[in-house]
Amino acid sequence: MERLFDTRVRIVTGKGGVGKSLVALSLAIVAARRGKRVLFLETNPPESVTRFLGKPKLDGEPRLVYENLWMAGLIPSEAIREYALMTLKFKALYNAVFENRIVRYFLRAVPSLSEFVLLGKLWFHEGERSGDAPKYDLIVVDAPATGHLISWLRVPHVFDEMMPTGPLKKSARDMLDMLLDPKRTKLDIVTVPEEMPVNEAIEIAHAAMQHRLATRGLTFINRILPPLPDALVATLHAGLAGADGATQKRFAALERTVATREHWRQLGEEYLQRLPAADLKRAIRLAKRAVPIADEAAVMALAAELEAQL
Amino acid sequence: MSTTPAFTVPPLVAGKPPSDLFKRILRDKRVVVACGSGGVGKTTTSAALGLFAALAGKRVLVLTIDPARRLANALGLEEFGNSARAVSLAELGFEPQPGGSLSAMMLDMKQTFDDMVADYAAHPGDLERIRQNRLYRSMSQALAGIQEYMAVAKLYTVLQTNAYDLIVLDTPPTSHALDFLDAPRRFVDFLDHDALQWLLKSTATAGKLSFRLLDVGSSYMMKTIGRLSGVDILREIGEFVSSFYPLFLGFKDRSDKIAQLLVSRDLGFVVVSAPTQPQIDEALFFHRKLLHEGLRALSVLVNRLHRALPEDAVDASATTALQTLLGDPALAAAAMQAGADHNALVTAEQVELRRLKGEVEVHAPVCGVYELDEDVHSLQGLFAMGEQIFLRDDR
Repeated sequence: MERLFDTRVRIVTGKGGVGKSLVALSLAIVAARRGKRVLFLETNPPESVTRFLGKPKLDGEPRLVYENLWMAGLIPSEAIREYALMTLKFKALYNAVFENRIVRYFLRAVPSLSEFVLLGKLWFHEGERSGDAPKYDLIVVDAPATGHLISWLRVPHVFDEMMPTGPLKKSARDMLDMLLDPKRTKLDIVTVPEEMPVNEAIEIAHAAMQHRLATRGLTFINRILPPLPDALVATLHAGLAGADGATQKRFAALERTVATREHWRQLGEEYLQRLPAADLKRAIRLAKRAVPIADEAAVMALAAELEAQL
Repeated sequence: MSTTPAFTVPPLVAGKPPSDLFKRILRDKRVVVACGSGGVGKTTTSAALGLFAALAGKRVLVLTIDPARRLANALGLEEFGNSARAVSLAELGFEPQPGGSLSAMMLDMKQTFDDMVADYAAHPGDLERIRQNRLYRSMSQALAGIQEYMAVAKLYTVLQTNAYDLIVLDTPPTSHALDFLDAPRRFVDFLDHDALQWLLKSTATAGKLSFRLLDVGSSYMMKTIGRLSGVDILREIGEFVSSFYPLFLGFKDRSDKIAQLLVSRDLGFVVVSAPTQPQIDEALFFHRKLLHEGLRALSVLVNRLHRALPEDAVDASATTALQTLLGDPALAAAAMQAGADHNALVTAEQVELRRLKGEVEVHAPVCGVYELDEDVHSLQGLFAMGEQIFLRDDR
C-alpha cells in the first residue's frame, strides 16, 4: 500500500454527501505524516473542509496547514489569470489583453474554459519543482461529485479534439498525459453502503473507462455500521416476547432501534455487493461514527483509521 | 389568480388533514423547486410531494435534472427520457381524487439544448451550420455551466404546455443549485452585454462578423488572443456568435421570462436537509441565499431524524434488566451501547435542528421528518415519508 503515495495525483470523488472531502483530507494527512510533501487541492472552496478544522478559508496560493501538508483552493478566475500570464509571459501584455472588457467577456463565454484552467493549475502544481525534486510528492484533489467530475475530466479531451493547434491544444495534451498515466494519476472513489452512492460509484468507474478520464485507484467505503453481536436481535426479540407488559413497554423502542440498525447494516452490505468484486475486495472500509460531528478531532480519527489499513 | 378549488381531504388519508405547507402549495403554487445538498433525500421528497399532490387531485409532473437516475429508482420506473412518463397510481393501490395524475421526467440536457436551438433557428441551413460548429458541439455536450439554464428552460417549456397544475423540480446538489438560480440572469447579462452588441453591430455593418474579429493584422489584441488559443478558434467563436444571432433574441426573451418565473408568486422553494452539521450548514447557506435573492422559501425540511429512546431503556438500571432478559452480559452490554449511541445521535440531531430553527423559523417553517424503518424505493415508502410532511397528525 506504500505505493498508494507514489502516485503523484489522487483525484477523490463520489456522490455528494458521502464524506468525500473528509476522506480526501484524511488521505492527505496520512501521507503527510509519513513524510510526504502533500498538497491538498479543493475544487469547491466555498464549502471548504477548513471550516471543520477551524482554519481560515483557502485561496489559490498553497498554504502550509500541518507539517508537510499544504492546502489551496482551485479558483477559476485566479487560474485563468495565471494561465494567461504563463502563456503570454509578460504582465503588461496580460493587462493590455485580459483587462480589456470585451476580451474578458469572450473568455467567460468560451465554454469550459474555467474547468480547463483548473486542470491546468493541477498540472502546474504537479510539475512544480523545488531544486531537483518535485515540490510536492503527492497532490490530493477533493474533486467535484459524480456528474460534474465526469464533465470536468472530459474537458481536456474536448479541447484536444476542438483545437487544431496552439497553446490550448498543447495544454490539453499535457493534461491528458498526466491524467492517463497510471503512475502519475489515480481516481479514487468514495461511497457509503447505501443504494444511490453505490450506484454512482459504479457509474464513475464505468465513465472513467468509457471516457478515458483517469486510471481507477482505490474505493473507500465510508460510514460502515459496526455489526452487532449475531444473536442480539433474535435474543432480544425472544426475551421480550416472554417478558411482562412493563418490560415489553420499556424496551420496545430499543428492540426496534437494534433491529432497524441491523436491517440497515445488512441492506448496506447487499448494496455493496453490487460493486465489482475486485473493488470490494481491495476497498478501504471506514466505520460510521455514533455521532456524526465533523471537527478536527473527527478528521484525525478518520485519518488514524485509514492509516491502520494502509 | 388561483383557480384551484377548495382542497378536500383525499379519502385515502381521511382522518389526517393536510398540513399548512401542503395547503399552501396546493392553493398557490404551480412550481415547487426542491433544493439542498446531496444525500439528504431531495429526490425522494420531490417525489413524495408529487405523489401527495396527485392524490389531492392535481395533475403533477416531477422533473429531475440530476444526472443520476434517482427519481426513476424512487418511483420504481425503469428509465426516463426527456419526455414525461405516467406513473400508474391505480396499479399500485392508490386512488387519487378525480383529475389527479402523476408523471415523471428526467431531463436530457443535450436534447433540451438541441430542441431549443431548433425552435429558434430561422432557417434549416442555420441549424445545420450551428450543429457543425465545434464550439457548439462541445458546448452542448460537456458543459456544466449551461445545464442549469437548460433545466429552467425545460421547466419553462413544460409550463407553457399547461399540461400540469403543479411541477416539482428536483435540482442537483447545492453549489449547482446556486448556479441554477443564477443561470438565467447570467444568460440575460451575457446577451445584454455591450460586447455582444458591439459584435452584432459589426455583423450588421460588415455583413460578416468574422471580418471584424479576424482582421488580426490591425488588431494587436486579437493577435494576442490568437497566440493563446490558436487562430482558428477565433473564427469559430465568430461563426458561432453570428450563427446564433437569430437565436439570441429568442433566448433573451426566454431568459427574461425565466428570471421572472423564479421570483413569481406561483413558484416556491423547499430546502431539503438532514440533521448533521454539514447538511444544516448547507441548508442555512441556501436559505440565506434565497432570502438575499428575494425568493420564496416555503419550508426547510429536515429528513432522517431519529426518535430518542425512553430514559428507562438506557439508564443504569436497564443494564441489570437487560442482563436478566437476555441471559448474557455481553449481549446486554451491546444492547446498552447501541441504545446509548442512538440517544447520543438524537441529542446531536436536536442541537442541529435547534440551530436551524433559530435562524430560519422567523422566515419559513421547519419541518422534521423521521427516518423510516425501510429504504424508500416504492410509492408506499414515498407515502409513509410524505405523510409526515403533507398531512397533519391531529391524533
